[in-house]
Amino acid sequence: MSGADREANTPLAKPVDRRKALEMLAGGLAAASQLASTCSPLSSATPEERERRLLEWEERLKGNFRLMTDEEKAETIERLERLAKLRRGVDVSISATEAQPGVLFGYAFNISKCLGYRECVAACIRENNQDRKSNMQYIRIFEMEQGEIDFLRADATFEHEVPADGHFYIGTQCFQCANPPCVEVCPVQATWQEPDGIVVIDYDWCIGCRYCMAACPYWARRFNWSEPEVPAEEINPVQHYLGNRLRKKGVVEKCTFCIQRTRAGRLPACVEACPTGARVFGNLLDPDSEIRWVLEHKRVFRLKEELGTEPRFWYFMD
Amino acid sequence: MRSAHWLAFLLVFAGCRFGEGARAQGVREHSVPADARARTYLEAVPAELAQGISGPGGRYFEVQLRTPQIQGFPCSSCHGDRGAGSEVLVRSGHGSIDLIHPRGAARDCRTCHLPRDPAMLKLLTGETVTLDHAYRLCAQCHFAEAEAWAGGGHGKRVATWEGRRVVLNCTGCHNPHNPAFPKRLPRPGPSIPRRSR
Repeated sequence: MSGADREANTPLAKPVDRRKALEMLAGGLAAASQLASTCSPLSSATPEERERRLLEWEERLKGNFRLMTDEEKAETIERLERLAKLRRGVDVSISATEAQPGVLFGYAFNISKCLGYRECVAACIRENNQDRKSNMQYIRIFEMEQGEIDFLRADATFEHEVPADGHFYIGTQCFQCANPPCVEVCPVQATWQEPDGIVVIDYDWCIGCRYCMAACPYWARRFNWSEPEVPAEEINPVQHYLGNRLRKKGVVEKCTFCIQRTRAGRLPACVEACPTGARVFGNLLDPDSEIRWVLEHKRVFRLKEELGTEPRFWYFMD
Repeated sequence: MRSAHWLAFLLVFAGCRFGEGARAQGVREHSVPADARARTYLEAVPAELAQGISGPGGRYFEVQLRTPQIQGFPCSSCHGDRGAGSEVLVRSGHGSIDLIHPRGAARDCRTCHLPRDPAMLKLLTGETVTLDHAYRLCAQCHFAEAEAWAGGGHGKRVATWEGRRVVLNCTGCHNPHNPAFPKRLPRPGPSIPRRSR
C-alpha cells in the first residue's frame, strides 16, 4: 500500500464537513466522558447528572432552527424540556408553532391613554422569563412633557406617582420592523423575520456579537451579560422555541410580541395587562381587526420613519 | 331651541347606534389555531357571559356581561322594592360610591338609574336597559369614544386577537361614578437607565 493510499484511508482524509467532524469528535468525547463517569469508582455523578451532561453535549451539535427538519425540532424540544427539568426542576412545554398563513401582526400604542403605570412592563417580565438579577425589561415607558416628542428630554426611570401633571407617556419595545437592520447585520443568521412579521432569535445559534444591538435604531434588544436568573416558581412554563424559553449567558433577546401567546391566538401579555387600553394588537391582513380600525380612523405615526425600517408599531392619539 | 336639536340628535343616536343582536350570532368565522392549547383561551369568556351586539357599520362583536361581576347583585337583594333615592339617601348605604360623574345638575343617582329599580339604567329615550348594556347609556354623551370602542380604538378586547371578539363593557374599566383613572405609583422601572439626563 502506497503512502497516498494509506492517507486516503484515514478518517480525516474523507470528505467530512465541519459539522460532521464536530459530531464525531463530540460523540467520542461524550462516550469517553460517559465511560469515565460510569466506570470510575471515584465519580460522584448521579444518573441525572450524567443524563444532563449528555443532553448538553447533544444540544451543542444541533443546527440553526431554520435548517432543522421537523424531527430534529421535536428532538431538540424534548432535550430542552428535559434539561429544564434537570437543571431547574420545572416542567416546561416548549412549542415550535409556525406562523399562520394570512396573518401579519401589527401593534398600535395610544399615547393619549398611557398613564405610565408600567403594568405592561411587569407582565412582560413574568411572561417572558426575563432575567430578574439584571432587571431586564423589553418595554420602556418614557415620560415626556406635553407639547412635543423629544426622547432626549424624556425620563424612562420615573418612580413618582403617575400620571404626572403636564406629562404624557410613550412606550417603546421591539417594533418588528418590516425592514429590520438587526437581521441584516447578524453575521451568523441567528435572527430573522418570520412570515407573520415577528423578528425572532435562535438563542442557540446566537454568538453574542451584539451587532444587532448596534444596528437597532430603537434600542429594542437586550444582552445577557450574566446567566439569567428566574426563580423556579416564577418560570412561565408555556414557552416557544423562538420566544420565552430560558435563555443563557452571552446571547441577545428581545420582544417577540409574545410569540408563545400570539401564535396560539392570545393577546400579548402587555396588551392584556394594560389597565387603560392604550395597547392595540391584531392581524394587519384582517380588514375587520382592531389594528386596521386604528390605522384607518386615527392619525398615526411611527418612530424614526426616515430610516426606512418600516416598524409594524404605530402610535396614535385620541 | 338649539338644546332641543341636540336632545333630538342624542335620542336618535342612542336609539340607533347599537342594536342588541342575537347572542354571538353573526360573528365571522375565523381559522382555528393549530395549537390545541389555544382553544382553551378562545373559550376564556364562556358564551353565556357575553352578549353579541352589532355596532356601527354592522360590525358584530360581543360585550362581556357586567352583572355577573357585581358583588351583591341584584340590587333588590338589599334595596327590596324601595328603589334608589337621592344622593344623600344612597350615601348612607353606599359609602364607597364617590359620585363625581356626571357633573353639575345631573349629579344624581336618578340621572342614570331607574328610581324604582336601580339595576336598570334609563336612557334619554325613556328606554330602560340592564347594567350589561351600560355602553348604551355612556354612548349618549361619549359618542366618539363609543364609536372607537366599537371599532377597536378604545377599550379592551378579552384574551384573544382572533376568533370571537369579546370586549369589556365601559364599566369593565371605568368606575361609572368616578371614571378617571387614579394617580398611583408605577410598577418598578429599569435598573440600567438609558437617557441623556
